[in-house]
Amino acid sequence: MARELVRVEELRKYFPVRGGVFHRVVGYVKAVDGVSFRIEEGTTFGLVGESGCGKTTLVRTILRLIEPTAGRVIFDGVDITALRAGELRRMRRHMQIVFQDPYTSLHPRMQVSEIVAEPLRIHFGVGGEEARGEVLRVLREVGLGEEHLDRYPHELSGGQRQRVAIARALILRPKFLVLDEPTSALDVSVQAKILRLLKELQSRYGLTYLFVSHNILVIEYMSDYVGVMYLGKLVEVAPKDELFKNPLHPYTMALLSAVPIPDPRARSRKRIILKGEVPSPLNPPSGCRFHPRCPWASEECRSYEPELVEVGGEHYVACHRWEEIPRVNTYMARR
Amino acid sequence: MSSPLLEVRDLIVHFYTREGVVKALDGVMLSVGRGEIVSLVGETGSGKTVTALSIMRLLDHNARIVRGEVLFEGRNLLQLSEEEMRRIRGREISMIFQEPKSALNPVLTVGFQLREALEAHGEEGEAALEKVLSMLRRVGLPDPERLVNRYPHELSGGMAQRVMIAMALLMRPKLLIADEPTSALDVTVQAQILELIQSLVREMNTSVLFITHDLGVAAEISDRIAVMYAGVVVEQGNVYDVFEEPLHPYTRGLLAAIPRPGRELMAIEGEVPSLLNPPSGCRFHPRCPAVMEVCKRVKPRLVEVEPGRLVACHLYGGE
Amino acid sequence: MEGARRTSIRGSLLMARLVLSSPTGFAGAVIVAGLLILSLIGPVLAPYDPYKQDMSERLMPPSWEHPFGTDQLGRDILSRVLYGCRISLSIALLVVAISATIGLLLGLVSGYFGGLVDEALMRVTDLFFAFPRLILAMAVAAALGPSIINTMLAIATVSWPVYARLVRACVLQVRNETYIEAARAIGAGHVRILFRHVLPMVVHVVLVQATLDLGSIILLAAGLSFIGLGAPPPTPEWGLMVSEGRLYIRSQWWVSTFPGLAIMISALGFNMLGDALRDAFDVRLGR
Repeated sequence: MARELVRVEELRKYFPVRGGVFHRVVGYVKAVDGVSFRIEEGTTFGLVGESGCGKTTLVRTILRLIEPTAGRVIFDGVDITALRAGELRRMRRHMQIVFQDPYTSLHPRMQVSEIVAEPLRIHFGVGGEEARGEVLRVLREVGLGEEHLDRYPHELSGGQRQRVAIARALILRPKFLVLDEPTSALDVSVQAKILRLLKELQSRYGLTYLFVSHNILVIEYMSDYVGVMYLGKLVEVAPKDELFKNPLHPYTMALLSAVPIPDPRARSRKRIILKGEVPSPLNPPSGCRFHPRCPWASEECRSYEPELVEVGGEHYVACHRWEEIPRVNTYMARR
Repeated sequence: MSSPLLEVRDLIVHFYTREGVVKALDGVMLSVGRGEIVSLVGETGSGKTVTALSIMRLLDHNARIVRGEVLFEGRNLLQLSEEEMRRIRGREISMIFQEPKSALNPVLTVGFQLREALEAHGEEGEAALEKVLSMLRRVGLPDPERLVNRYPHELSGGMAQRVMIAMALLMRPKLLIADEPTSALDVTVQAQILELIQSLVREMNTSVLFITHDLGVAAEISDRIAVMYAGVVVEQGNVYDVFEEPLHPYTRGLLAAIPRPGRELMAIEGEVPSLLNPPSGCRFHPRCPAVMEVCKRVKPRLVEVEPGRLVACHLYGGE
Repeated sequence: MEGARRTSIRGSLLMARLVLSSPTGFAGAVIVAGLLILSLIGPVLAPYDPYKQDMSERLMPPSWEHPFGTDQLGRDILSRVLYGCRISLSIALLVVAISATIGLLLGLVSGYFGGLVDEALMRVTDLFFAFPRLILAMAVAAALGPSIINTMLAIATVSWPVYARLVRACVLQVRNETYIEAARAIGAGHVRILFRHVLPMVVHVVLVQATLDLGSIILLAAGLSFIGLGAPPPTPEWGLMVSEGRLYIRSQWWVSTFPGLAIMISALGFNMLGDALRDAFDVRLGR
């Protein structure tokens, strides 16, 4: 088995909610509530979930851009949740992130050359002409060139901006790259280019990705392993092919069957249309958090929270009734 | 075939901006038959929304309709007075948007806004309220008697979109224009809303012009599909035909750019051109893998290659 | 880098064009430019020594010899107004430089770090905002005693909170932008983030406020001098001159009127320029 690069253990992030006259803490939004998984070196772990499921908070907490409430993150053998501020800053060169919106993640008053060179300046004190060669090298790597050096972000298209963001993340040659919905703000034809670029860079440099998306087709294309998140928890984790061929959690099934398929012949497939919407993480439902929307919920589901357990072949699921639920053909399995 | 409900003919729209004239629409041709769901598909800036707003005559002041006709039941909407147009909006053609919450007034209750929509067209009192309640029930909102007293911010995204759909269908319009109505929603909620729109319009025999950037959504919902690129409808046809055998190189590229299990992902070369200074001839020619000499000079017309199957490309003889 | 210079020049040119294209902006720019020139070469233009008294020539009405007339000590008012330009402008520029810098730094720290520092600083500024600026400045000036330096200290003491508040509000917005998070993600420290990433996004607010403030500081300085808490006689300070002439306002109107007009025109000029500058930034930053 490949070497483990990232291990997340029982990670939690609770945001206090204040209210009332005295501004007291009246409750907690449990954005991430006990998440554990591991990522092997050189692979992509895809994290999929709908808005408000906590995936964005989760990845920020993993990188400690947000301080975790509890739990540990082991990166390359180092517990980064225990690092002090200075040590953490030095550690950052090994783990980088590309954000969703390339329109807001690049400083509007900095030129491409400055943006991409900044990590070098911070970690090695190298800048200006000295950094130029390296900046150009990495820009070419992501499909940009010399003519983009002097541009400001607003002079670039969305796809070009995202390439700049990728270049900034790659210039320190990190081992681990978090991709937080990197193509969600882009059109499909641009998205295709960025996805292909990311795959190419991964195989060239043996990068390890944590790829977050709400788009299941994109997750399917990019990932080796997939984790499905619902309301702050992972409900199912499995190798990609296994998850798409044999989803066990009812939420995963519903999610896969709700994906609009660009093929009208797929309309006749059997679909699970869930009722209602994702409940508020401020007051998550008792027992299994999915039970109010689950067509198969039982008394047990209402009272006891299921654990994420391995059901064989690296396939984990958090559901009391996974063995009884009828399987669905998701149309997503590779044919 | 009888004449379609809506027919857009050779529509050219320009926007006058600080940077120059944006040639947003360049001869759009489009038709929607009675009871039909037609998807208008394209990427950002392709002109989908401008087309919709031109039909509704809701374009901004800096826009000019240079040429073209919008025939609705045979009448050219572009020649109606503002007063006549107001009677058509809401009653005969209504519209729903991507952000349902910004389309609702935050300081008025849901019920008030729905009844106001009816009153604008002369229906008032108990009968109006009854109509509102039954419509809310039909769009699948539980407990409509309480819902009418709530404010938009108390609704979730999916509920707000249901309210918008209820409002849009209250007057039983002949045409519903839906501008990316599910793009801001999660997939599980999107599936609910798509199913709702489909079943409601079939039941009420309403035609739909469904605008989306998502080919998957278009494949799920439509009878016919029209693909737009840089202000031009490049291909139009039955949804099965277009997805099975796309004719225009852009449609082919777009379909190949969607990640799908077990298929290679292909990208379209180059970037969407600026409409301040669009390419000559066929606007797709700089990115087209099958480009010919003629494409750089002559703009291809939208021609019918098979009954109901239209394409604007020189590969298919659009001289 | 050459490219950076090129684009920053292009940006400044655009700003200049935007400011000058509005009528008030153009008028403001002309007035401010005039004031700056006068404060440089005013003493050269002045026909007389502003301190030279001539009791035989006292309270003379405007004439070819004394275009603005003479005051109660027979001094040439035109010469005094021209000399006063340099004094008023130096006071205003120095005060603004000091208070804007203090306010900028405190606002940056307060907005960026938040928490207790922020809380404390904001309560202090609340204290300042509870009193009118002139009253506070009077109190400080009275405690320090009348002199030009003390006038500046007094005004600077009461002027920085506006900048601190403005900058803090702006930082609060910028702090949550993704590009700040991106800077943290590449390992940037607080100092770097504050000065390389946050600062460039707030300077324009300070610039606009400073321009608007120049006008009111000229007024404030004149006000202090008027009530005897500013520049001591015989300084040719505009406010002091207005004050000295107020005994004669019924019969010898020119003594107070010309320095008063100077105050009015300069305050107006800075205000108009400041407004136009704000509008221009709004356009340029796409709001």
